[in-house]
Amino acid sequence: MINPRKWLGDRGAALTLAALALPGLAALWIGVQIHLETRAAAEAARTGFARLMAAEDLQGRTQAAALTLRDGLNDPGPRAWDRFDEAVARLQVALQSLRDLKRPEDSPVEPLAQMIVRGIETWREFRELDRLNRTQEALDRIARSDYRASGAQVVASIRQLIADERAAAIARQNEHEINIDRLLVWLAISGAALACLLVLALRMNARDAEKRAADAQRWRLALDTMSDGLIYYDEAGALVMSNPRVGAMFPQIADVFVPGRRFDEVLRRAHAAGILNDPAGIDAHIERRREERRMATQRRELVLADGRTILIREARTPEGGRLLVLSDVTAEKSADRAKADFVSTVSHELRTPLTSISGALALVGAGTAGEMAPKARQLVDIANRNAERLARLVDDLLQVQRLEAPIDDLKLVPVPLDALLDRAAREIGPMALKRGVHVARTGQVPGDALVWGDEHRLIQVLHNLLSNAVKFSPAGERVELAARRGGDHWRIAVSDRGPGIPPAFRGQVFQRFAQADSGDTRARGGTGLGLSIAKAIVDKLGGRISFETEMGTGTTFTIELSTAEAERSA
Amino acid sequence: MSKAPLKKVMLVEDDPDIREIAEMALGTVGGFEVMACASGGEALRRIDGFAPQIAVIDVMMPAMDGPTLFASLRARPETAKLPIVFMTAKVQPEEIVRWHALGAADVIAKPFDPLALADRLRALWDKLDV
Repeated sequence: MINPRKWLGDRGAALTLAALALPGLAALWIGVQIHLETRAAAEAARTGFARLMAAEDLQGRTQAAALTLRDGLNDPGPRAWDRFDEAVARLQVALQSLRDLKRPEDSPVEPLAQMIVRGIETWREFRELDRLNRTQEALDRIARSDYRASGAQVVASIRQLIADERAAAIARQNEHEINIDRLLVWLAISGAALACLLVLALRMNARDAEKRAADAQRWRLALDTMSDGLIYYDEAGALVMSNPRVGAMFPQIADVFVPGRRFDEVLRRAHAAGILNDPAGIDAHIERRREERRMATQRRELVLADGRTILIREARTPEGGRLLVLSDVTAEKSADRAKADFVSTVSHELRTPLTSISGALALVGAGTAGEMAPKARQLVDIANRNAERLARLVDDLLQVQRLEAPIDDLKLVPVPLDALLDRAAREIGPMALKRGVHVARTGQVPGDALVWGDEHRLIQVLHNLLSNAVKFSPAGERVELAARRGGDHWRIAVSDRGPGIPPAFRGQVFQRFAQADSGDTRARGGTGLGLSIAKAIVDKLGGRISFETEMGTGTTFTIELSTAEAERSA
Repeated sequence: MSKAPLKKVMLVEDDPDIREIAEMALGTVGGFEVMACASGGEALRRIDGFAPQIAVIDVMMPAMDGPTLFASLRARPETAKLPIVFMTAKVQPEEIVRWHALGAADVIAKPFDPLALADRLRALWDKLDV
């Protein structure tokens, strides 16, 4: 099969089809018209020839009748008249067949026919007289009549008729031939037009192809110069293309990245070269990777034997193929590690003097070193509170760093929701009591309700939300902790009747060290990290955190976690 | 079963300020008899003369760190079963898990509350099956 797209390109094919459609239809219509005309002309020519033959037949019969009459007149007698009768009968038949053929109005056939009829009638009269034995009288009448002149006129008319018919037949034949010529010319013209269109389409296609080639070259250049490796497998798992960076990343197996190579073959070579070291074995690895191909996107880190870390991002193409982008993230990883080590060291270094400061203050405050003047006690309390805050800040810093780190120590398991909420409410109790705020659980949660999460981290999230709510509640107010089921998730809400979050601050609520009022840090004792930590944890657990607030009325923070009841029964 | 109440605690801490505070927390506040050592070496030299019931050891120390001292104590028949509590400023969960796995009776995070330290050791002592 010829594929017009292949030869002409998409645009060329479309244009050709469009260009062919109109002239094609016009050519078809005109062709049909010419064909009809040609057929009519051929029919007319056929009829004309029939008339010509009929006229010639009439001429022959007329001549035969005239000869018979002349013989009869030379040698009169019943036998001669009978022969003449016969000739006349034949003449009549010829005349009739000529009259039967259609004639134009101005045809000379009718006067001729009338002349012949008149001659025949004269002859009938003669025969009647002869039958009545008045033969001499009849002969005399014939001799008297101008039958010779009439006969000559008939003969001349017939000749004229024949000449006319012949001319008409020739004219029709010419017309027919002209029609055929027209048809041929038209075919030649439309053929030429089509050829022109085809050439035009091919040239456009050539331009398209040039443009595509230029595009492809640009893409090729971009792929060749990018710092990430790129591999594309088709839906059947065969390698379609890869850029040189992939080979540079894995020089030991650079030769494997060629079109047509199957992805399991590539994995096997990588395994054999020691690049892949899945403890489950290469077959299990390939099987797992096959399973993973169903997922739309994938992120995986590969730690190589030489210590490099390669981040592989995988995406499914609309055709079902897989596009792999490989980035060497060794530098980022070591930077991450260095940062983690730094934060860890700094927090350790900060903790050591803090231990002395807060320990000393606590002991002095407790009177271990003897009684203090009330003013001194007040100052020691201030120092003590701030030492505690500093310790919390160090904790939170470490926490933030840990949540940022890609190492994920979260354990996603079904967590009993009712017990979780109870524990969170119980643990915030002492702090709430100190501030004169009442923390209450509202609504019912079934004992067997489960959410996906990490219990320790969820407690931390709820603690951060509840301690915020307590901090911002006026003394004597209530903080409510409630959970309600919505489809396949549980929404856990912590509501306070505090001042609400000012509109200008709402966009930064989950940012680190964000506090609506810089005086808050002092007044309420927070580090400004609680909500950012809560959000980081909820995000890592695959949940959602949001808030609703109204100035002067209060704020409700809601976290949404997937239900896990189905897993327990499964 | 009845066992002797906790009286004698060995403290090993290289930072003199923290040592002082911990000593006060255990001695003055807690009422224990405390032997405070500035290094693992000192602890090993003096331990037999003191015979502590519990040792509180800082993890990060120069020369001999807490885990090394821990191993040395475990290696000696006299102190092989001595309950050891680690004190550390490295409070990441995996660190705490690591010391528990090593065989520490408890792990105390710095900064600690000096007013609660003695009570915590006492509670631990009561729970321990020595």
